[in-house]
Amino acid sequence: MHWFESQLADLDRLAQEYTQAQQKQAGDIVNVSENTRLKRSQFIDAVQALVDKVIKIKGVGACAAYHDGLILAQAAQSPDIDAFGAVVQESIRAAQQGGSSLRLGDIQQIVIVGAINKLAMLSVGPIILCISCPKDINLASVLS
Amino acid sequence: MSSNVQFLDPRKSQNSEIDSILRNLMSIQGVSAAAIVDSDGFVTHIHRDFEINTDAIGASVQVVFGAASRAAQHVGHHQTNMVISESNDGYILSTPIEAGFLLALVTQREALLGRVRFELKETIPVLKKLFTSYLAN
Amino acid sequence: MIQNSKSDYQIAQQQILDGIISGEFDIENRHDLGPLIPIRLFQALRMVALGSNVEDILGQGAPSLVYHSGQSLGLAMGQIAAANIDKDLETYVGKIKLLCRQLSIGLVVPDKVDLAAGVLELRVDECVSCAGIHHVSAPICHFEAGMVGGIVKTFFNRNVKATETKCNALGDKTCLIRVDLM
Repeated sequence: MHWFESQLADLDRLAQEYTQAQQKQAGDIVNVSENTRLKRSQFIDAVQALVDKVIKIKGVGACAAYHDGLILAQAAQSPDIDAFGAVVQESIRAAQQGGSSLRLGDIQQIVIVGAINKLAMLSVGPIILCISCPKDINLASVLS
Repeated sequence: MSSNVQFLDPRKSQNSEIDSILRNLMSIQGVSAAAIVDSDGFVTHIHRDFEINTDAIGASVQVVFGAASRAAQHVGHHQTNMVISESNDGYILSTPIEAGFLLALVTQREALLGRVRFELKETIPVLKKLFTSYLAN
Repeated sequence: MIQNSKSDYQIAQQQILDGIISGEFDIENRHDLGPLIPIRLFQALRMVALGSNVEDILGQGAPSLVYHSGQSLGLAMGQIAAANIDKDLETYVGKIKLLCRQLSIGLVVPDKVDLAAGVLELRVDECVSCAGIHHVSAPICHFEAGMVGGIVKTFFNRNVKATETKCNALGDKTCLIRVDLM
């Protein structure tokens, strides 16, 4: 497993732990909610940390994480940051519809390749991680 | 018009859980105030980084949320889950809790809207449970 | 040209409050009809214009607006009553009672004053807003609750929460407003 895959696996684990914390029956609302908050915080902090690491990789142009098309974590101000969000939401919705009729299962990745740049969208728990780079960059290779 | 007799005494020590939730919301980047507003527009709990006229903001938040909910109903939308006001300097987000109470967040421009909204959406079910148990007692 | 920063409503508000402060209830341009109006006209303004119509637009925001409006009047009345009384609560209450009677808002009677607990309860008998109104499901005098809140807030200079706990329109024969000092 290369570096980025292991990072995604870690995020997936944290997202699952958060979901499990949410599902616990709340006999003791206060302590359960504190635990859920802690798990949520661990997950979001890990997302932000990964975004911060990815942007430093040579060849990567932008990296951000979105929830429902709105920015949840970003590495630096980018003029296209809101446009990415709109594309993410549109693409995920279209993929989910297509995925359902083709029985693809839950959408994990979408890659849009343009003549100049390309955009990878990766689903992790409740968020979408978005990485953009020039078309010629081999993302799998630079992220390994 | 709804009753104004729902009363959550902000002086009671049991409200420390609510304070802890508001403190957590304040720790999100760019959030400058987090408040609970009752159905009369009275601010029952607040954490903030700056001075606010709590009477005015409480009433305004209720009025804006009420107007947005009504506008939603007029176009066939049933339940309003969140109202987001965007201005040059930041956002105000308000979300219903229980019995007319609202949770309102004020942010600076640098706040990540998705981050704040996500946290708000995840926090509301907990607040709903707390308020349901408080108001029942 | 001098820019006037006040809205027309604010200009009118100032003139109305000045009239109240002066204690002079005669009014110009009402030579035949005089300064008094039927209570039903006031109630139409209160329960229709500032009630059901506002509710149509603001939904659950309506009570907040009405409470806030009442509080603004209460703050102004409080400032009138607080002048030259050297922070004496009894004199303050006396002046408020007189002002409420003069304005026919209602007969204000302190029912309970527990300053140690930070709780006051004031009765408003013959409340102008809900007199002659019946069969409502919850207290409807948010304006008076806000007004009493504003009056108490001015004297103690503290945040308060006023809640109408009894209402004549509910069949309680009087309106009772509980004020919690925060």
